Amino acid sequence: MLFNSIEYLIFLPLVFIIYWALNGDLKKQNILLLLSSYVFYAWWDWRFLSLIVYSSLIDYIAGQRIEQAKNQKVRKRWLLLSLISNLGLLAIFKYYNFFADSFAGAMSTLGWQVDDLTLNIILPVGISFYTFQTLSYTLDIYRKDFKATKDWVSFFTYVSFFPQLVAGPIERASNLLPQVESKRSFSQKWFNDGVFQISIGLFRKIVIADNLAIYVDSVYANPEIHNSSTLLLATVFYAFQIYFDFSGYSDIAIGSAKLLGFKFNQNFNFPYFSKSITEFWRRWHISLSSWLKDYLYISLGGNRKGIKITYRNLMLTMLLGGLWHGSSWNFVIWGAIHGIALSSEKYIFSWKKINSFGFLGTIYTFLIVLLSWVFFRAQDFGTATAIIKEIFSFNFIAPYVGNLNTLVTGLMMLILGLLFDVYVFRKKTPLEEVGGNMSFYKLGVSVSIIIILTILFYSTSNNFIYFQF
Amino acid sequence: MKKALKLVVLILVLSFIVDKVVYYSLNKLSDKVLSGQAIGKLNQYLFQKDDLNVIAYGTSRANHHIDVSLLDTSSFNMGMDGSSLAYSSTLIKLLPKNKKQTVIWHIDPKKVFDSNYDGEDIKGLVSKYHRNDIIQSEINKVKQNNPLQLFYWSIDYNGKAFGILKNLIRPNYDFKTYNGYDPINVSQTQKEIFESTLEKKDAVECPEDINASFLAKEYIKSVKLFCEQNNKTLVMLTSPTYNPICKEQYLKLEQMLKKLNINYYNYSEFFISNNSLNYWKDKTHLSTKGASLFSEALKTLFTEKGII
Repeated sequence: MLFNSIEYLIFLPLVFIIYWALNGDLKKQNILLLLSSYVFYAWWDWRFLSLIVYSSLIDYIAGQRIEQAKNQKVRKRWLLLSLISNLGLLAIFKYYNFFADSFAGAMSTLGWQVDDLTLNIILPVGISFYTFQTLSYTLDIYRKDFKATKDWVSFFTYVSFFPQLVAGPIERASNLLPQVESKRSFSQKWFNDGVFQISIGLFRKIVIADNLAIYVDSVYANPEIHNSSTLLLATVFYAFQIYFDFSGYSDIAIGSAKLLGFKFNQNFNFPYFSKSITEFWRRWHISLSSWLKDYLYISLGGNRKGIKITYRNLMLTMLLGGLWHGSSWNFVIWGAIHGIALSSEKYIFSWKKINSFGFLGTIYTFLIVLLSWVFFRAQDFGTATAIIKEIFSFNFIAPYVGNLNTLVTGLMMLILGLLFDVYVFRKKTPLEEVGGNMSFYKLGVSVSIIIILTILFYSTSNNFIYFQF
Repeated sequence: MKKALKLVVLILVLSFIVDKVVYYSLNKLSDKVLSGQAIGKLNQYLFQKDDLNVIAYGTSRANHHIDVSLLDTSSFNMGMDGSSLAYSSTLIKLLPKNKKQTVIWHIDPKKVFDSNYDGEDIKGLVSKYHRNDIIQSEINKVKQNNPLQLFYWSIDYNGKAFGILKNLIRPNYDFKTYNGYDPINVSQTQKEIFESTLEKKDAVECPEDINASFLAKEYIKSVKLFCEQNNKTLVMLTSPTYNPICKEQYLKLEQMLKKLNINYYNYSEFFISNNSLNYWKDKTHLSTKGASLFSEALKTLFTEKGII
């Protein structure tokens, strides 16, 4: 089920009403959340529910066994089982064709012809997200940072909780599971926060991102026929499209969870205001970057084993982070660009004894991010390099306009979205708390205006970009 | 919880009121708009349709290819970008009863034989959803209405507000001299783009199973019936294509329309024996020069056949 569908518009209020009508009966509320989350997922494809149940079951048992184990060997064995089971699923469903294809390609460059090894595999929606989420549970128990739960309903609900099931935020067990296990009470402030954030999220997604997508898609469908200015404009639009698309999704997820009495962590914190790539990664897809930092970068040794190992760890983390997004070399290159930028910054910051490039840093950061988005968006490596080559040929004549009405709508809505971002950024109030700080009437008027703007300017819904990951 | 309910009611009431204010304001403004594709051209058609003798319908290919002024002094080209069978057939059904008129309906086999065709193009008429019963019922019939439209009427103007304001303040053209035909003057850049696309070899797979979609057939039959009952002469045609492929489809369309006893003329290969890049903007759209040659040929044919 998509957040921007009529189905969700009925589903969420229905769950909300039944949920709070259960009058604080925790067990019943959790069963309701579990069942409704499975319905939410099955709306897309019920067959893949089995993967979520399998993943949940393995980690539920593994978590308990790790905690109960008396020696380190047994603990490690159960952790390995959890890692192999979860990453194995990911390897089969997400990466099998990529590696089979790459293997065949490598063999053919050596002169050996290998039969087509790829399989017709459907990528289950959200597999990368819930795999990382359940892994955080067993890893935390293994590190003795978290206690295993004995309530399977709570655990299964934690893994499949519908607001974050298919595209995050990746909520760690340490944040979400205790909330699932404890009694929740209705909070008017959280309700107001949630309503406002959901409406902003919808606006960001179906008004800003989807309008920009029309131009971006038409240019990136045939990049070879466009000049430098068109390709640059489309790439700038894509930078904002993906930001408003994904942050919009996170807003709806966080807002929906708040309506049900859950507090998710912030996932986006105005990343394009960052003054360095290091800062960018503290503000962009925070739940993934902090996951990668805590479970990959630090596990590899972090910055504790000397400067060379630190750079290696940074690069590895970003390369794997890139690969997490999709099974294509373009994502690896995207990760590599960020890895190189992060390593360079680390070197310059420690050499010059600074921690930011000031105002110029915002421009530099945006340009690096922009360059990396070309690889993220382009069909393949060849297309991405051709686009970059064309942009740097400085053939800046009048750009392709396409449908003028769509372009103007996209631009106007983008400006509106950016002005709102600047306003909230300057106010220093997290977006997650804006609604709750408004008066009753101010909130009513604001949400009504957002609804009317959405109705007037929404574009036909594309899937959320991060669904494909 | 009571306060939450109050907030929801407040939002619903406020947004309902604001929606109606916006909707009626846009109605007022859009009625004054007579230029621009989405609203202006449709308005002009609705104002003039009862007095016209010849009207052309269809996709952007109809819009850019048929110079109706050559066919009759009282004529209009209602071809529209992105439109297809549902859009055109609905507009035809809005014509006055019993006035003698010639309906030229441009048709491409691709849409007719598209089994996934769902009439989505009818959404182009959504701005009149709450103002015209025929349009409303045709949109509902193919389930292309938005359920939220029952509550929020402004959805009728989704994506059109800026266009309305722009065309109100600064019309694209003078509607008094506009007959709906939009010839394409090909720029040098467009020419270069076309040449570069010709260099690319597209692998086009023609479907083996060629069956007209149920919906397409229904639209064609309903238009035929409407024309028969309301004193209209219906002519269907396919305009030239740079390199017609999947010729089986053209043949099948011809057979299908013959069976339905509809006059159909296939001009897809019109330029094949005497082609020039100057006749084209791209593989499916003629330039002004190409459209002018094609329209002349149409005029000759229609005169010969006694259609005009």
